[in-house]
Amino acid sequence: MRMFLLGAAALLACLSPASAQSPAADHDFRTIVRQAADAVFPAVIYVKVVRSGFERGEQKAQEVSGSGVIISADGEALTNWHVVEQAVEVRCLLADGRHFVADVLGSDKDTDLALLKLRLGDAPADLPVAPIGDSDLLREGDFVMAMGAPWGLNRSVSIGIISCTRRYLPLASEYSHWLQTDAAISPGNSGGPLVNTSGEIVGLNTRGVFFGGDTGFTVPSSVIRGLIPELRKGHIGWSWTGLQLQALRDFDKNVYFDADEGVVIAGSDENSPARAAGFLQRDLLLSVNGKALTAATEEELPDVRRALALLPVDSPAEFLIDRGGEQVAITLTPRVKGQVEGDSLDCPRWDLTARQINRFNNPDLHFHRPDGVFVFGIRFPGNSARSGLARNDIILSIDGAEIRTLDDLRAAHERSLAALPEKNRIVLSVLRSGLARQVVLDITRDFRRE
Amino acid sequence: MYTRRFGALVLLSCAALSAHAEPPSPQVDTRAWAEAISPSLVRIHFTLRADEGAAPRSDYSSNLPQLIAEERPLMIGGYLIAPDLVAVYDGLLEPRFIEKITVRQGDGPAVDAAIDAFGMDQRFLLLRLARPIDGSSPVAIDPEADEPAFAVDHTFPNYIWWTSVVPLGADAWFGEHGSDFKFSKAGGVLLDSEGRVAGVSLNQWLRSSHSIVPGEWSSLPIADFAELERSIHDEAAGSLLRTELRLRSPRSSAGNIFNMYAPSGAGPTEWTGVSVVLPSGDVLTLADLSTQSTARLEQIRLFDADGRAIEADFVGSLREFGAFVARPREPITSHARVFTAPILDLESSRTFIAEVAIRGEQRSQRIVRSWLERFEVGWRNALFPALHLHESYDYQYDDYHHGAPDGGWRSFLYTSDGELAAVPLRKRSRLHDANHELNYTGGGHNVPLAPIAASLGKADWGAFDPDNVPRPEDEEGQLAWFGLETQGLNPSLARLNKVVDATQDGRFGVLVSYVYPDSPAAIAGIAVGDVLVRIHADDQPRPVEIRGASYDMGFDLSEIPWEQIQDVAPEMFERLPPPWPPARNLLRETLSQIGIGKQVAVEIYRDGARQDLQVVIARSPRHFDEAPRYTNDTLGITVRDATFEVRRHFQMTAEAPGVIVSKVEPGSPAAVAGLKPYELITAVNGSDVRTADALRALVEAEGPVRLSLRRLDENRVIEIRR
Repeated sequence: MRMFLLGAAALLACLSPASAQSPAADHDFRTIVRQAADAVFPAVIYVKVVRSGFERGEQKAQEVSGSGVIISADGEALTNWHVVEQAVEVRCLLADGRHFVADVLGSDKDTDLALLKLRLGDAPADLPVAPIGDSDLLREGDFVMAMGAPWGLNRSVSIGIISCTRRYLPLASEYSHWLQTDAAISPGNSGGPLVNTSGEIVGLNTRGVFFGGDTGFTVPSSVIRGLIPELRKGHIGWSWTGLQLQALRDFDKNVYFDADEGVVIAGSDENSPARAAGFLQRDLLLSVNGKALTAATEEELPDVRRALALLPVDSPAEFLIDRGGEQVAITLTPRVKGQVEGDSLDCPRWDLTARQINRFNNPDLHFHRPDGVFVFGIRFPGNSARSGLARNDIILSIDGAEIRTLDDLRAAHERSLAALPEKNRIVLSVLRSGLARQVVLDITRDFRRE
Repeated sequence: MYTRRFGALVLLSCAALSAHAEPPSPQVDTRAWAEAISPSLVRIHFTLRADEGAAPRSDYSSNLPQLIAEERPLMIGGYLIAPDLVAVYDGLLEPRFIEKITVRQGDGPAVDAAIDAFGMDQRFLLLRLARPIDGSSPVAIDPEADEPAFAVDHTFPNYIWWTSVVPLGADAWFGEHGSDFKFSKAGGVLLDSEGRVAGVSLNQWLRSSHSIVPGEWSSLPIADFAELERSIHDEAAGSLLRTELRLRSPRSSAGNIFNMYAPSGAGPTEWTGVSVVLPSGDVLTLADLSTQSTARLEQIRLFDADGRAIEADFVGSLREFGAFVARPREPITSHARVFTAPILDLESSRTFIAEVAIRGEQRSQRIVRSWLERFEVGWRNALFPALHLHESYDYQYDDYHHGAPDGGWRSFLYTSDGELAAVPLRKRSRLHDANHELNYTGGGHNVPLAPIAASLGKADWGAFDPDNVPRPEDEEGQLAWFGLETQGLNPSLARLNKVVDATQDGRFGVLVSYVYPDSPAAIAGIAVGDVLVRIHADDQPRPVEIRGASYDMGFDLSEIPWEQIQDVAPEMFERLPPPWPPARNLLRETLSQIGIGKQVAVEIYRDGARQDLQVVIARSPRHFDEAPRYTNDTLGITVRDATFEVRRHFQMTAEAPGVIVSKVEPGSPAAVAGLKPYELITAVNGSDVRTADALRALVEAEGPVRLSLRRLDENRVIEIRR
């Protein structure tokens, strides 16, 4: 399933006869929806971002927009990581017409969360604030509202129900599950709240599918709540063990292990704490620091991964495993996970952009060169395109100088500019599909001349 | 050439200007001579027709189809040698294209005529007239006449009838094979220097062995001639057998969506054509199969004149010519009688051509008369008869489905004694290097059969190529190697590596990007960064330029979308190109053709300086494309051994366990379990696996199968219950 990001704010209106939250029987449905909406709607913001992104081989500023919701009187607001990714300017518009510039306090790609801080200035702002509710109380069928700016149309509300409270998306559920809702979520809703009938934020709308429009995915508030303090620090300090985990039972793949508890160790990453600690394939992980861990199915893996990722960095943790019927204790010291995506660099005269190889984002390139930079984008027409360079070529050296970091690359690019016009060709050694190639890059022509 | 007579307008006055002409004597009155001969000169009209969709062809003229379209006859000059007998040059016009023949004198009334006889010692036809032509008189030879000095010719160039009187000159040619002739600008009635009739010649070459007295000419009446053609027809039908070859299907190359990696010439799975039954009882099958095609050859079936199928076993491929020898499993009663004298003995003689076409299960044959006058010089100065009116060569692999562009007719040269003199064969080129400017692709010839039949399996013409043989299935694709991965040059890389002159600015040459440990290249000292330009081998007529592979020419298909591999639909897997270069490339094919085990000098450039390194060509270890494989239908997977380039790509040591998944059947237990192509299976039920065969033993045991998988750095374990 290929998902597309959306942004949305949702309000919730839900009147279920069985619902414990139902305030009073004499409230009609319209009243409940309206009250809940009123509680959150003023706190929903329209987020307008200027992003300095890397597209098709060059760095370009782009305007994007999304949604957010104010969660504190001093101007903290939640939105999605993908809304403010690479932002150079963030502006927020409130429902009452006020507008503020915002700073990104912190963001996390794995959970797609970002925390903004509005620049309020000295004047008392008297901001509307939406309360954060408990998504764990939600049940399938509960009414919810999505609020935000679908397609840039701010101050929009749509209504639906919770379709699934623990949705697992195989490629997008590293540390958390999703709430699935049929409240309409469209591009622009990203970062807006999903709201229950009590007028509380129960999630942050993040993804949807373009077709149908009735399948939206929301980061649950139970996940968000615990991460807000981490986001205030700038980023979530996930720890990294390098363990590759597998569930005990997999209905889709028809794979079953003979155990009821624990998590199967499928392997460990190269040069990881787990590899160093001596984990073996097929070990069964039973507990960490005395806390039992079980992933009976693939859907339970995010919880296990989150538990491991929240282990304190750089302090030893006690792992209990079952190895061939015997219980073995293993001590593992997690390291900080660090960036999950390499930084990018534009080399305008070469008409390419490059990126640092990142273990998590570019595993295939990392396999061939653990630290290095690769061609991320090629501008067409341009010098790199003409030279035969290709996307995902790993740059090993330029004119004999080894390239390991974007700083190395930046320096090489500047050297090449300084040497013009006497020297108008540079020689790159690149790795493509694991094989070294020479490429002569002719930069005589300036493709960006107006 | 005789046809030049029709293109050249020879005026009477030219004779006086000719440098070779004897000075005209006072008695010469060429006009009077021409007029005196004119009662013997006739005009022949051949009314032509098409036959079975084919256009007539002849030496008389090249525009016969136009004549049919324009409803006008082919007009030729002839000479009355008896009141009702006309002699005319034999332009090899086949009778099936002749609707009607008429003869007239000047603009006089037409008289019907028919072919009466064919010349056997000279190239002529005799036409019998239905009645003598009024006012005509046959050529009367003057017993007093001296040596011929002039020829009187009756021709129709530029659509005007001319009578030319041409001096013969003093040219005389004496061939080392005993043949000699004088050359004339024209054939016709021959006069001596006084204008007396000395004889008739229809050829421009006046051979001393040829009589100029028509009464002494040797000819065969048409009934006897037809009988001779019938006997040759039977010879050919009994010894030129329809043959069917069956070949194993070539293996599909993974990822060849654009057919870019398809091995060249690997196509045919069926071939139909001709085999010649030799006096030894073996047959020579005229199939120009490449090494990789022959490797897949599984069955040879011959069909005798009665249509009976006879199986035959492969004996050996000719090294020099596109044919192989096979041995029938039961004796074939008839065989070709081979003309064993030197082929030059057939110069200027009446010959016959058996045209044979094999189209599917249909064998067609016709016998046409011919006259051998010219030869082509070919390989090592060999003479090949030139049969210019007949297609002879190109065997198309896909004749069966598409039909050969020339109708599929092949020409076999027979003597008038019914001996088979030459067969259509393609000379094999020594090396495969397409697009090279020194390229020589061999080419088709009418190759004398005797020297091949006499030396089969020995040397020279009959030598066998030990590499061009059928092979068992698991060996069919193996090639030679140096043990290199390379990058093709281009001008900027050639300049960078200082090999501009040696590579003609990067038009050929390859840059070494990887050297496999312990390979011939490693042993010879070839290193990454060297530029390989040429291979010098002792028995090759010229050094061979090394070129980059076609996959290397710019765009790159070799990227596996590892990050999205979960999203790739199983039915698309086969289209994922493997992330390593294909087994077959120009360098390996060239090395294979030079020969495994040979030592060659490789011209390399290191920092612009030439070095010649001695390298021994070795048989390549198996490549992924040809790796031993094992398919388990229950699980729905095919795995292959992790071959050398797979180990390089996945950075596996030689000892590391693992076999590679090459195919996953959609919907199979393996597909459900999430297996993807190009994943490695490192262990089964906890036991390491290193070969596809080892995997077979492990997964065919009872009980559940637990596979340990590796995809790049990522590991998984899956258990499949059956």
